[in-house]
Amino acid sequence: MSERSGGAPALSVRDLRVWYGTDRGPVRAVDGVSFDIEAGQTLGLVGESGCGKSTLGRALLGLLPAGSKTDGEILVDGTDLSSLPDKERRALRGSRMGMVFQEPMTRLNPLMRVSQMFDEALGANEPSLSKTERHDRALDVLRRMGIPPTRWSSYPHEFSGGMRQRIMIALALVLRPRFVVADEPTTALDVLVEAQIIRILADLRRDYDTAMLLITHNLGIVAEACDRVAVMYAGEIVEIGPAREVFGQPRHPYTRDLLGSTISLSTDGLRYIAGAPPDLVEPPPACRFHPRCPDAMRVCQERYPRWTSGPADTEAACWLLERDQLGEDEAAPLERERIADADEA
Amino acid sequence: MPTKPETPQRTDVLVSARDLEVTFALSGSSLARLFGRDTGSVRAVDGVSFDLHRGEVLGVVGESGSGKTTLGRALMGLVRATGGELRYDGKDLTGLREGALRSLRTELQMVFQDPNAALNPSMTVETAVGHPLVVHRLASGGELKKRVVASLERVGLAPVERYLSKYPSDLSGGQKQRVVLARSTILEPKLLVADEPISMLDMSVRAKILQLMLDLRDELGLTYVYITHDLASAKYFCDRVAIMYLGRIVEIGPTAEVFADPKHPYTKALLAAVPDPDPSRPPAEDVLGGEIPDAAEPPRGCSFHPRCPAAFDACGWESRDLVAMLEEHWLRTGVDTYAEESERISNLSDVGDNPDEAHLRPGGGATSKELYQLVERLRSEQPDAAHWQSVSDVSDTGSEVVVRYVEAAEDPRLRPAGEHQEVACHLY
Repeated sequence: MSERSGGAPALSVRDLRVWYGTDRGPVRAVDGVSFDIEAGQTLGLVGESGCGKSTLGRALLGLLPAGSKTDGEILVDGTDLSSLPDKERRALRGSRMGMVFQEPMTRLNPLMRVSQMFDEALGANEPSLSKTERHDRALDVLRRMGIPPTRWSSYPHEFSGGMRQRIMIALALVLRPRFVVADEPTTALDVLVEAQIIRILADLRRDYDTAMLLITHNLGIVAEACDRVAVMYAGEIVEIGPAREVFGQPRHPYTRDLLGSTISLSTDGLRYIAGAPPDLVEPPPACRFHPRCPDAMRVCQERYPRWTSGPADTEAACWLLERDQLGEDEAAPLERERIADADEA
Repeated sequence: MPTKPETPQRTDVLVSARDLEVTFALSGSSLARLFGRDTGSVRAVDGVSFDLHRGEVLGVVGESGSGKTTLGRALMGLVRATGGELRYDGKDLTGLREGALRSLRTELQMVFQDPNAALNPSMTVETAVGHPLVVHRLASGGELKKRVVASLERVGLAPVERYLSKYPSDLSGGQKQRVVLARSTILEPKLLVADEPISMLDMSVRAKILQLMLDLRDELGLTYVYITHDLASAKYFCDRVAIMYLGRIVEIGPTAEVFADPKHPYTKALLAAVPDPDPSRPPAEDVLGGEIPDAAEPPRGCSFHPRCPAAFDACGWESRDLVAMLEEHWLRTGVDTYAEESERISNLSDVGDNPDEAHLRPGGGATSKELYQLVERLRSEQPDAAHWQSVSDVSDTGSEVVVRYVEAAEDPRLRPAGEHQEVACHLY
C-alpha cells in the first residue's frame, strides 16, 4: 500500500493545545498532548465525555470550529500540518487523512449512489486513475468491508445502519490515507453490528497501512481493536501504553477507576468515580484528577506530576508512582470535602 | 462497595402476558386505503407470553427492531395490544377504556432513554417532578412541595434547594436522569418500565444510576421491566431476562442460568459479541453476520434462521435465502466472478418473490442449462450447508431454473429447556 518512511511514525503529535474563547475566558479543551501512532497501528483514546477526546480528533484534521486556536505540532511524514495554510491542509484531507464519524445515517449524501460517491472521492483526490482503476479500487475496498456486489449501486437509504458505517469506513480507506480518525464509530449501532464493525477495524491493521486514532467511551472496544491506548482526563493524557498492559495493570488511578466503573459481563458490584470532569476554564491546579482521586496526597494539588515509564512501554503521570521521592508531609492524604452523589457528568 | 441485594420472595404475579400481539398497519398509498386494500402490516410484538412477579426485575434484551420498546409501551398502555391478553394485577389492560387506563397510570410509570427529550426544557425541576401529582390531582400547595422535596432527596438530588429552580439545561446527563426517576417515582408506582435508562449516559455515571434504581426498588417495593440492548448491565441488574428477536421472545429464564448456559443460538451470539475490557479474555472468535430483518417481511419459519449458525433444513429456508447465498458467494469470490455470473441471471431482484420456489431466468446470452450448471456447482461446493439441505429439487424447465424448498416446520414456540429456562428453537 502506501510507502513507509523508514520506521518514523505515520502521525506524531507534539504538545498539542486547543482552546476556545468563551465569555468566562478560554476553555483549554486539549492541553499539551503528545503521542505517536505507527503505520498500521491503532491508538484508542478513552475518557469521560468532556475530557477533550473529540476536540483532539478534530484538531488533527483541522476541523475545529471558528473561534478556536491551536498550538503545537501535528507531523505527518515530516510535514507539520498545523503550520500549513488552510487551503493546503484541505488538499491533504482525504488523501493523507480521513475521518469516520459517529452517525453514518447523516454523513452520506442521500442523493448519490454508493458507486458515485467512490467515483467522486477517487476522481477528486487521484485524478491520474482511469475509470476502470477507480471502479476496481472502490469494489475491492467495499468487498473487504462486506458490502455485497449486488448493492454497489444502491442509495444510502437502502442500507442498514451497520452497512452505512461500513461504507463510511470504506470511503475513508479507499484513498489510502496515512491516518484515520474514527470518532465513536460504533456508538449508534447494535451489539452484533458493533461487534462486526470492531472486527473490521481490528482487521484493518493487517490489510491497510493506515494509522488510526479510535475515539471511544467503550473500553471493551479498545481491548479488542487497539494496539495502544491513551487515557485522557480534563484535556490531558494521563496514561498511555499498549492496551493489554494499561488495562491489565493500570498505573494511573483514573485509568483504574474508569475500568472499575465499566459495567461488563464480569461485573459483580457497581463502582463509580465520584464527581464529574472539571470545568476547563478553571481546571484544578497541579494534577487535574486530584479532587476526585481516592488516593490523592497533599502534593497532588501543589505540584504537577511527572511522566514516569512503567513496564512494557507504558507511561503515566501520577505522584503515586513516585511516592518514595516525596516527603512525609507531601505524601500525607489530601483532606477534601466529600463529593455529593449527584455531582456527576 | 454496594453489592447486589437478594432477590425478594416471589409471592405473586403482577403482570402476565399471553400471546400478546401489537400490529401496526403500514400506510400505503391513499388510493389503496380508500379502496380498503390491504397495505400490509408490521408485527412489532408477535405472540409474547411471560409472567412478571412482584418485586422482580425482568430484563427485555434485544437489538433495535426486536420489538422490545413496543412491548414496554404496550405494558404502559401507550400502544394498544391488537391480540392476546395482558393482565395487570388481575385486570385485563387490552380492553380497558382510556379513562380507566389513565387512573391506572398512577401505578404504572415509565423512564425513557433520552433524559433530554423526556424533560420539558421550560419546566423547572420542581414543576417537572411535581407534574404527575398535579395531573392526577393528588396534591397541591405545601403538600405538593413536600412530596417533590422527598422525591428529589430519594434520588440523591440533595441539597434539594440547589436543584428545585434549575432547568434541564442547567443539569448534567446523570442529574437529568435522576430528575426523570424522581418524577416517575413520586406517585410511588408499582411497576416501572425503564427503556434503556442508562444508554445515553456517560459510562462513569451508568453504574450510579443503576445503583439508584436498585435502591429505589428496595425503598418503594418497585417491580421493574428493564429494556436494554446492553447485556452486561442486564446481567448485573435483572433477576430474569427475556431475549427478543423480531417481535418474539426466543429465550427467557433466570439471569444466572441464561448467562451461564445460553441455549438459543441468538443468545449465544449476543453474549459472544459483548466487548470486554479485560485483556486476559480472548476476543470473540466468530462474530455473527447479518442484521435483524425487516419486520414487515419476516423470514419464513424461525425468523432467525438466515443468520443462525446452528440452523438445519427444517428451519424455514426459502427463495430469499438463495439470493443472500449468491451475494455471500460473490463477496468471497470477488469482482470478476460477480461480473460473469450475475450476468447469467436476468431476474435477480425478484427471485425471492415466491418463498416456496425460486425461479431463475437466464440472461446475458446464457442458456437455462448453463444457469442450471451454475446452481448445481454452487450446491456441490457446500452440499452440507443447511440452505442446500432444505432444497428438495433443482430443475431446468428449458426456459428457467426452479429451486424448490422443503416445507418449513412451524415457527418454534417457547419450550422448557434446562432447569428454569424456556427456549424457542427447533434444537430443543
